[in-house]
Amino acid sequence: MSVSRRTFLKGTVAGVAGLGVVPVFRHIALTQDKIPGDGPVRYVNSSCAICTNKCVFRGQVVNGVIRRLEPEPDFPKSRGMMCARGNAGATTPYDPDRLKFPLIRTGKRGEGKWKKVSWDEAFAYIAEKTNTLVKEEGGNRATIAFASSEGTYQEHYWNQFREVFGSPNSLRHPTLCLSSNIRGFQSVFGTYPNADVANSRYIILAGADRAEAFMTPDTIDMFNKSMPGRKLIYLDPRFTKTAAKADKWFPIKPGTDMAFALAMLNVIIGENLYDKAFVREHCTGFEELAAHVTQYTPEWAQGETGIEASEIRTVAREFAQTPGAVFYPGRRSSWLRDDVQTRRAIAMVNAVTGSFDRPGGLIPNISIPMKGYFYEPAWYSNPRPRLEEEDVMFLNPRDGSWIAWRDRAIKGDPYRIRGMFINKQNVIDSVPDRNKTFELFDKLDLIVTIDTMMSDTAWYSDVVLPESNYLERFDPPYGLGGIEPVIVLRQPLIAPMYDTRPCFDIVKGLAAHFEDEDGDTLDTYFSGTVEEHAEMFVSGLPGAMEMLREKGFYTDGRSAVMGEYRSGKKTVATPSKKIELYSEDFAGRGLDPMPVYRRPEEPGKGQFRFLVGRHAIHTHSMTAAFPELNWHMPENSLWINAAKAREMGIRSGDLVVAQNRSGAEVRIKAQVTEGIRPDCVYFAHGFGSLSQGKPLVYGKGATQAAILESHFEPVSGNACMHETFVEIRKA
Amino acid sequence: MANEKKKRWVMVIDPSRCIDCKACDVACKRENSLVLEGRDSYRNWISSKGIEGTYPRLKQKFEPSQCQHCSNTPCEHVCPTRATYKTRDGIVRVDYKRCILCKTCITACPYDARFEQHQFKAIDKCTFCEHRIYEGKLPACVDTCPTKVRVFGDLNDPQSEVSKLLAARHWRVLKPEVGTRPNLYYIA
Amino acid sequence: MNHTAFKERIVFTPGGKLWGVLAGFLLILGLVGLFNYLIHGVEVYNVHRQVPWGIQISTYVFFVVSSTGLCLVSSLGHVFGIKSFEVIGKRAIAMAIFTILAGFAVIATEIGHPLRMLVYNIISPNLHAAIWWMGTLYGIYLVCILIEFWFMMRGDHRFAGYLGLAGFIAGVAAHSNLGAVFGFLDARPWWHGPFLPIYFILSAAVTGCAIVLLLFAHRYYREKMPRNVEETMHAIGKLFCLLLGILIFFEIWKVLTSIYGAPPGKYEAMMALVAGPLSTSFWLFEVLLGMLIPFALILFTKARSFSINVLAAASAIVGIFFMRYNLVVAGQLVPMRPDVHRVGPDGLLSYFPSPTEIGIVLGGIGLCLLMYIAANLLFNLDDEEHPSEVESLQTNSCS
Ligand SMILES: Nc1nc2c(c(=O)[nH]1)N[C@H]1C(S)=C(S)[C@@H](COP(=O)(O)OP(=O)(O)OC[C@H]3O[C@@H](n4cnc5c(=O)[nH]c(N)nc54)[C@H](O)[C@@H]3O)O[C@H]1N2
Ligand SMILES: Nc1nc2c(c(=O)[nH]1)N[C@H]1C(S)=C(S)[C@@H](COP(=O)(O)OP(=O)(O)OC[C@H]3O[C@@H](n4cnc5c(=O)[nH]c(N)nc54)[C@H](O)[C@@H]3O)O[C@H]1N2
Ligand code: SF4
Ligand code: SF4
Ligand code: SF4
Ligand code: SF4
Ligand code: SF4
Ligand SMILES: [Mo]
Repeated sequence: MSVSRRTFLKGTVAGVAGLGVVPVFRHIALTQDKIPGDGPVRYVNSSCAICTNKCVFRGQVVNGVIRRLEPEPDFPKSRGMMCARGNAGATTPYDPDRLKFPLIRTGKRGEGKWKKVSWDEAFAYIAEKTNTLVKEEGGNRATIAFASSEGTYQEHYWNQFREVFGSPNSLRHPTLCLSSNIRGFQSVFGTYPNADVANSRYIILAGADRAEAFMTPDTIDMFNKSMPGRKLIYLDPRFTKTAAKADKWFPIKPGTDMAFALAMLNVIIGENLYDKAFVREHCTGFEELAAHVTQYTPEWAQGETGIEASEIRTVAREFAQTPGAVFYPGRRSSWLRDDVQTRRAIAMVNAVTGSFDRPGGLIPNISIPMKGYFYEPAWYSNPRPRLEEEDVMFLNPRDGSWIAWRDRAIKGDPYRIRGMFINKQNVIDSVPDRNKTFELFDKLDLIVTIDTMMSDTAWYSDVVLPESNYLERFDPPYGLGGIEPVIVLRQPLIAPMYDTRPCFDIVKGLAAHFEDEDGDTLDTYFSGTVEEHAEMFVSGLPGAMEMLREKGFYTDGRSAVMGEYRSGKKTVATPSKKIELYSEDFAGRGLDPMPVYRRPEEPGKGQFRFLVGRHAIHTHSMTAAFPELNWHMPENSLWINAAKAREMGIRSGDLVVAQNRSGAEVRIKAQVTEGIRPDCVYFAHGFGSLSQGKPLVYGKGATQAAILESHFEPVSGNACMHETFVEIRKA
Repeated sequence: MANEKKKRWVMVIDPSRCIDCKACDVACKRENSLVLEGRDSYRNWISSKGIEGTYPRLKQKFEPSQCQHCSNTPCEHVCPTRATYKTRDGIVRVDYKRCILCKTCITACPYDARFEQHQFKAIDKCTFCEHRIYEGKLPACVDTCPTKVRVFGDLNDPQSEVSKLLAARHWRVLKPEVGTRPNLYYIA
Repeated sequence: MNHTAFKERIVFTPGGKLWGVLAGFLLILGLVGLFNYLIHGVEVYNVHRQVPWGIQISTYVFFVVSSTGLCLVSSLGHVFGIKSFEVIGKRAIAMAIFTILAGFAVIATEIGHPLRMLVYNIISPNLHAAIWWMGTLYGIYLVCILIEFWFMMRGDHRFAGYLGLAGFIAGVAAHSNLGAVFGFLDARPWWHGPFLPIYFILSAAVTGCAIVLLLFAHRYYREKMPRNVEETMHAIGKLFCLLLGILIFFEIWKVLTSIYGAPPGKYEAMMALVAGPLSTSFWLFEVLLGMLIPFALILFTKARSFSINVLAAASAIVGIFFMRYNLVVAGQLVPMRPDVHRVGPDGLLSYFPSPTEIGIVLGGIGLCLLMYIAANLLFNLDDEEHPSEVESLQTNSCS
């Protein structure tokens, strides 16, 4: 890496800088000292790791330096695009602030004092501490918890490690994201389907900000105008970029989407606009639903949602009468306490109009079958259940329920949690109520974090293990279900630049320092290499590995065949094998068998509902310090309605304090805008970092997790991120 | 190339598709290895007046743009050393080594398309990704765009997508009154 | 004649030394600025993508306008043969050289590649580019007035006259081209058009008069002015006043045509001056100091009082410096894209020079003064056909 002359001079003779203002883009400049120059381009196809979409790109390598990640035009899922974040990923291996070698904390937690160690030292240190903790807990291996997020294609090794280690306490991202959505749709359709956006003529989006929250291929199919005359109806308390593109934007009162959906059902059923043949053949519980929704008139819904009854009526009629209309399922549904039922109501609007298994409607995902990853299980004589097993109706044992689990862990109920291993999850910023996370951390004697950057979580850990960057890594094939399923692969563009390792090597290395009950070291459970696993995964698909190597993805051209459910070739996976408008299962569990509207709590005087939501520039807490993305959005600010702000004497740029009901507060600049309801405020995720290892966002703006209150929804265990009320005052 | 038919490279932009995601900007910077030197180094941008109107009657528009590769080329006319020149196929380029950084061209450009880039010690701006297009590849801002706002091609070829688009759709150019005859077209 | 004695009178007096120290101090400021620029690059300037031309450009314009003005005024004598103006010849031409050199020095710190310019201006000229012509013609102009000065010093008035004519032509051509550098920019309606080339020549003449008045005020600060010089100064004062009057007339029409009917681009730029971010610089400096005060002063005294003339000239020079700044900056404040991040709530861009830019500008002024002081040491800049020393011998003994 050549240090450019300017940087060098700047470093040596900075003394006279006082005469003129020198904007110091130190990190940006350093990252970009690695300039590939001109020369022949070597292309390596691989798969993006900057968000959940996993777009496949053609990586340009020039003179051994990554120049650009350009879209692979043939990759069906992303329709040949790379978003700003995916493009910005190209410089991540060269980020001067990335993690470069294992670190063990030497100062206090969060003080930022580290000792650089070898991998073996790190492993030995972790093992020694862990074994002591387990011993202290009477051999309870569940005392060590494991957190992780998807996206590395190596998470299965992490799960394997947890399982052979013997802990049930796995905490994954779904209960911060879409658990309630999955549960809601599954209870109606037996699956969480995709919307066939490309062929849809009429789309209702309730809080699914597709223009900013990228989901492939939906984002692309929604806005590329390939469907002339398509109508887009958008419900969101904020005027997002999706609102800018929508035919209609309704600034719905937050948490009242169920009322909107129920009123639609009221109109569609009441006016006989539903798909009678479809309902007769494929649904159960229609009579009950019809009777149930008579109470939910548009006039009633107007009072709840703030959307005019006539508008609701029009939307309901247009929706029912446009072939290929769909009420989009949405993605992140960690909103309110009744989220599962809200999603059920939305699913039912689709069901009664037959917007299922037909072009433009909801389509159950299909996937390309791959061989599974098998490993010897380890057996322990006295396994303990997950901490929060009792607290959630439908608990996915691998995902857990973050908030419920944390409440238990803080209390040590029914047993203590003494250590936590975290991989690719920025727990401190991603789990609502940071203060509670700190409370949890205070109870832990060991925190180990695997990351690529010094996230806030890594910053507060005892041991930080650097995973190799996704552009330096070989990750085994990963199947993406969908209407057009694919398998994707990650292969290195460059060799690892520092002393980093991929997840498999990390867990295998760690495993060698642990023993099972029979005294065998745990690494005996890990066999083969990632490459060998990769070959094995796709061994049933002739030519797949070659295509993966060449193109970065594999498809045999299959796509979901429409009409198979309608024709009876396939049946939906509900208990009744029908689309359930009335759920016996729910009734049996004491839940409402049909969605019953309960008015959400309203913010009191002087309070605002705090909303979270995506924007196109950043991914969660992960990219705010990527130089190019930071350039576009260097700080976040609090959106507040213009009229309201005028009332309160707040102007754009003023520093304000947002304080939630538990007293936690953040300071952040105000951004006065017409584009938000007067009873809500919002700011973006990813800023206000505590970690000085991310200097571009350290202390810049505020983090949502600091003021998000700690609530969860007991059916799916999903967090409720919009149950937070804040008071705003000028700082 | 000499006896090949001249090309007329143009870009047709459909602003109604743009979701303001900035992929075009980041792609351009990476493709052209632009070092971020501050707030001024960018070759393309999305214009917007922000959210217009009063809650709840609001709208917002986005208009992507970059150097217009003007047929009547003010930046070229004023350049003392011919550092700014037009290629035979109409692409307006800057020869970095001839640029004296007098910045006259910046003041001459009605579109704010030019800027001083220290990395090159010269004026920089959009090149239509000339290094790609003769290899049959699309400019970076074109290929990366999620909603395919930009269409690129040869207007001298009646079969090209740009020719067909311009024949079929109403279009406009930016600042027609300054007489630059831009080669960026906007679907109206 | 006693040139050494003269030097002692004008250079080595406490007042003279003060000038030297001041000029030296300004030059040091400039060198610090230059050093800062060389280390940190243009980051230490406040010019930016939307306002790429700042105070260095306007100072350059100020200097070359001064130079052209001096050349114009002096040519009245030895080119156009108006005898009484010959007394100012050498001094004016010397200052014309120093001002343009100072101008070149300042712009060399602003243009990214001044040396590259010398090469590519020759091997890769663009004959369509006003700035090429400007550069080339100013080069020729400088050569002409240098040789002219040389002939003058040798007392060869015939050749000095020819060179003076050449210099005059080159100067007028170069200068109107400088106007065209701005005037050819269709993108900038406020600059665009034939107004600027003409206006530049006119304001050059005004500046020339003012500087001549100042130079002679300095020259005869400690001694009585010879009669013939006094008469010339009177004439220059009147000319100065007349030209100022015309300039005011021009300016009024510029303001009116820019505002009447609110022509897009022009109107906003003009409003930036009359009621916007540049209004102090415009009303106080450009209009009051630069034009109205000097005009009124001379008008009411009928140019008879030399000290009032000098006061008017000093006021005008300060004002004209700001006039150049206003011209260069206001033309750029109207954004080409109204939504760039630098556009403020008034819809305009902003620019204010950085300490480094100001330092370099002051350094340019210091350089100019130092060169003039040095010239007074090295050469006899008085008109030898009318040796003023003879008449002022009585004060000689004082020094
Ligand atoms: N406040 C707030 N919290 C939220 C949300 C919100 O909007 N606001 N959204 C929720 C949703 S929907 C989701 S899906 C979750 C996501 O939450 P997380 O899964 O925590 O996602 P990120 O915040 O992106 O953090 C990912 C971390 O992984 C690291 N990382 C990146 N690449 C690699 C790699 O290759 N290997 C390893 N080991 N680490 C890597 C990053 O540096 C970063 O620290 O957040 C949820 N929590
Ligand atoms: N650029 C980018 N794209 C991403 C991600 C990213 O980080 N960055 N993350 C990915 C992930 S993991 C996920 S889960 C998805 C999430 O994608 P989405 O599901 O679209 O989620 P959000 O953007 O978090 O929230 C959507 C909108 O809901 C609005 N909203 C809040 N409360 C209510 C309400 O009560 N009713 C209605 N109707 N609207 C409401 C918010 O204002 C917000 O604009 O995005 C994915 N895509
Ligand atoms: S949407 Fe963007 S960040 Fe996400 S995988 Fe695709 S390119 Fe990467
Ligand atoms: S990439 Fe396309 S959609 Fe995104 S900002 Fe650029 S032009 Fe608009
Ligand atoms: S847009 Fe500007 S830079 Fe591009 S060709 Fe036209 S005048 Fe030149
Ligand atoms: S700055 Fe460079 S490209 Fe622009 S006019 Fe001057 S020499 Fe030409
Ligand atoms: S054509 Fe190429 S150089 Fe021009 S804006 Fe697009 S990506 Fe950048
Ligand atoms: Mo998510």
